[in-house]
Amino acid sequence: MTEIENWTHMCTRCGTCHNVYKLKLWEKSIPDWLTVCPAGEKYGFEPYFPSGKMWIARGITEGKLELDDPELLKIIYSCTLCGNCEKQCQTDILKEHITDIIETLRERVVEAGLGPMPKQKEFGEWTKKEHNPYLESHENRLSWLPFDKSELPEKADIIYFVGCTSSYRQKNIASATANILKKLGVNFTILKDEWCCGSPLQRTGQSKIARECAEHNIEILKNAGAKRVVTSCAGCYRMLVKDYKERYGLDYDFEIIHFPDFLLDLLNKGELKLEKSINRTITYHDPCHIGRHMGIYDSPREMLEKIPGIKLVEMERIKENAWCCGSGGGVKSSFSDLAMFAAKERCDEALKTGAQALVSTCPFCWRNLNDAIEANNLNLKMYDLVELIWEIIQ
Amino acid sequence: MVEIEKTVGEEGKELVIHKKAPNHGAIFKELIDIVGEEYVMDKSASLFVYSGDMTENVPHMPEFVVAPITVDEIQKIILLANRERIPVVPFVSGSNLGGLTIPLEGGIIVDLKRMNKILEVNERDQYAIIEAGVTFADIKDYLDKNHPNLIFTYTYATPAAGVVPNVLLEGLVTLSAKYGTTVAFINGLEAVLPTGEIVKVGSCATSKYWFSRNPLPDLIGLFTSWQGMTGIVTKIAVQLDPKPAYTGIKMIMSDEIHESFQLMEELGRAQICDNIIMFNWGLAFAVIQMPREIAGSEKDESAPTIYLEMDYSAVNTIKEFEAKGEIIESLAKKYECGLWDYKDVGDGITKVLDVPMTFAGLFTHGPGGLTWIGAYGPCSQYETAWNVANEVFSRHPRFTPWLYAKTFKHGHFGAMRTLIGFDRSNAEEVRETRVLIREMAKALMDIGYIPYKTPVEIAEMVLERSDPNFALFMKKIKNALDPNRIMNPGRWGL
Repeated sequence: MTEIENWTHMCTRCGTCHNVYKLKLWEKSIPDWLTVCPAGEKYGFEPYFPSGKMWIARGITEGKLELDDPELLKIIYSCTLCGNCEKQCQTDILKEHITDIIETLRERVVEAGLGPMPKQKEFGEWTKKEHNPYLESHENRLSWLPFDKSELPEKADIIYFVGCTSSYRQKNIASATANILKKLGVNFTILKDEWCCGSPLQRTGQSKIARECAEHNIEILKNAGAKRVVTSCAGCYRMLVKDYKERYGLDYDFEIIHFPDFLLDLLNKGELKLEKSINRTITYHDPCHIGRHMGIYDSPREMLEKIPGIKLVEMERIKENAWCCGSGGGVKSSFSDLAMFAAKERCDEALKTGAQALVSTCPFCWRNLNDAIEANNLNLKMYDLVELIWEIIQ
Repeated sequence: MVEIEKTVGEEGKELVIHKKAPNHGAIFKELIDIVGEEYVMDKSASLFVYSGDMTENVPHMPEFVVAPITVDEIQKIILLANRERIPVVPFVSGSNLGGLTIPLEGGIIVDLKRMNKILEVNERDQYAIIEAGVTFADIKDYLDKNHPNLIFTYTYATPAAGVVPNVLLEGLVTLSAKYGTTVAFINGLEAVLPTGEIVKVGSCATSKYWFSRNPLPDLIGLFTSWQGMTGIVTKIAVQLDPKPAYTGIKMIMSDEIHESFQLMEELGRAQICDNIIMFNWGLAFAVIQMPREIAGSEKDESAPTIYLEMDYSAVNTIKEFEAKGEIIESLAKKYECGLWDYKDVGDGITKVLDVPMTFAGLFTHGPGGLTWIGAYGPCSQYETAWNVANEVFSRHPRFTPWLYAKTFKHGHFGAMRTLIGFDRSNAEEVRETRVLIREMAKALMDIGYIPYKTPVEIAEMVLERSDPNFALFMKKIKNALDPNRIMNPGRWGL
């Protein structure tokens, strides 16, 4: 906590993290002072804004607050860790570490046996046994596969890392991805013993289990002779690229590619041809895990714009200022009201553009946004980018 | 006076915890009945966030935080507080730099952020009626989208700062050279008095239009600069201005302090600027983040000592705008001050010149502590105040002097702000900050300036120097309005 103790003192609670930060407001091209924090906007109180959490972290490091405070768990876990605050905060050093501080607090409450939230604890325990947080059987991990698994080679240069959400819930995304790879004749395989990437565990403070998952996955990827690993999951991508290396110090020499980037590369090389037209007005939702966390903003848009017939219109809050879908950081499982609030706001923003469809590149975003569409009976269709591509080339 | 249970932490990093009300649980339940379970908090983690602010003022834990959304809920909270004799402190963002939302005697923090609606904009009569929790970001956003021909003046704070607290506490803004402090923008207000009555003050008390504080007896002063001691203001009407068709900024960077202040005085009387602000090299680098080669990170011989910014605009024609620019140029020439167009000063200046500005360099300078003595005084004493402030800073070399002066109301009065950035994790530095603040307040009062948004200790110094009957008058008003002493008790030493 020594390092974060220094960081938490830097927060003046000035409130800059509440809104999109801009310099030249008179310029028409820059959006208004729009809100950025789902938890702060939903619950309204100071502690739910990032600055409030920084102050609570300071209170704990200074010994003025106890970890077993009854409201502490709700405050520190009702954050999607979207990192939008880090893009708005103007305090050097602190702005790089706001989500690190919140994750560290979560690790502290887990170590103390006080956290995580009950449902998160349940999926942590389940992941230890069955390697996924969805309380599903590990042996059913490949049940979504649109072709016989005997067709998958043991080893291949390219490995599709599916992730748990696509394996057990958004099977539409997994199927579309595998179908595209097969249709394009890519020499790929899927690992039968893939485990959870660890993202939902790391984000909820259960870093010990997350690390075990990471070590396992790296080992099997190496054993499979991976040269390139593609993933259609934004959360898995961030874990594999960033957390595995920077947080756990795991070493590997294969390349990790977010699937839309892989497709864009094929398209640019002429190995993927988009000849059929999809006449639809769509808007693109930046997933936090590949957008703010990894800096991938343009390639999914470039890909979408290359689809014949697609008209891409932008929402007010995009790229580094994109409003979070509301599902990350363990929020979907433990604070469904907050998750639905954030998703509804995003869908409303999408509808304002006149778009018929909302497109993302993350199964977790897909799921939560689609839940809001269905719950509110909105005139909006949810897609993952890979679904659109499959629709064209199938 | 609510009894103190304990103080934790060493001096400089202390936290005061008050004894809870004997019937805490019953009050908690009643607050839930008023605003709903989601909007009441009484656990330490939540309360701690409201205990202090970015200043050196000693934090005090509140006993409850409650977030009402209607005037009726506020009235019920006030009635409950009266019955239970429990303090009530209104809160929006807590970024006032005077420790004014620190609950000196514990009690209930009323977080007004949920009351964030802009209720009406009257384009022809140029005012907006807003709720208590509306921020500068909210009003800017709303006007740009719905009334693009109108603007509201902007504060020198972050966009999350509340408009209502700012105008009640006499903030200084981007149109101060024309109008004065933000108090001048108030047309009328609605408040829940400390005894629970809901009152309207200004023309809205009689007319359906919130057009002016005239011609009824002006009771708005019962709520301004009282630091939340006379009730909770629930709505306020603020004056709007036409959005200018032409805007410009001219700057002077100089070592000629005397001539620059003479120019500043004359510019006020010339009545052509919206905003006139003089800042020193320290602020130039910290806030505006001017290129190092222009401003310097420490004062050295190559860095100009002072920077005079003059904002001007025209609603009607380019001719009108150019004429104003010519007058500024001619006055600058008279005092032999060289002019720069602000585009030559570096991109960082936009952080303060484009509104709502974030003042990022101040609030985010790193070690996390920011405080000030802001004082209002006569324009004739600008230069003396500047020199006095520099002298006080020279006694505390660990702090970079951050100074700025502003002209109000066409030179009828002005402001001297002395800002101090400090390391809040260093108790010894916090203690020295407290000493510096006292010395600065004393020095500025000695030459006729009066601090505003004052923390208790400085407020007491102000009243000690005031006509004894003024302090007595304040006490009488406070006692009459708040017989049970529930509203922000302890402020002004009352």
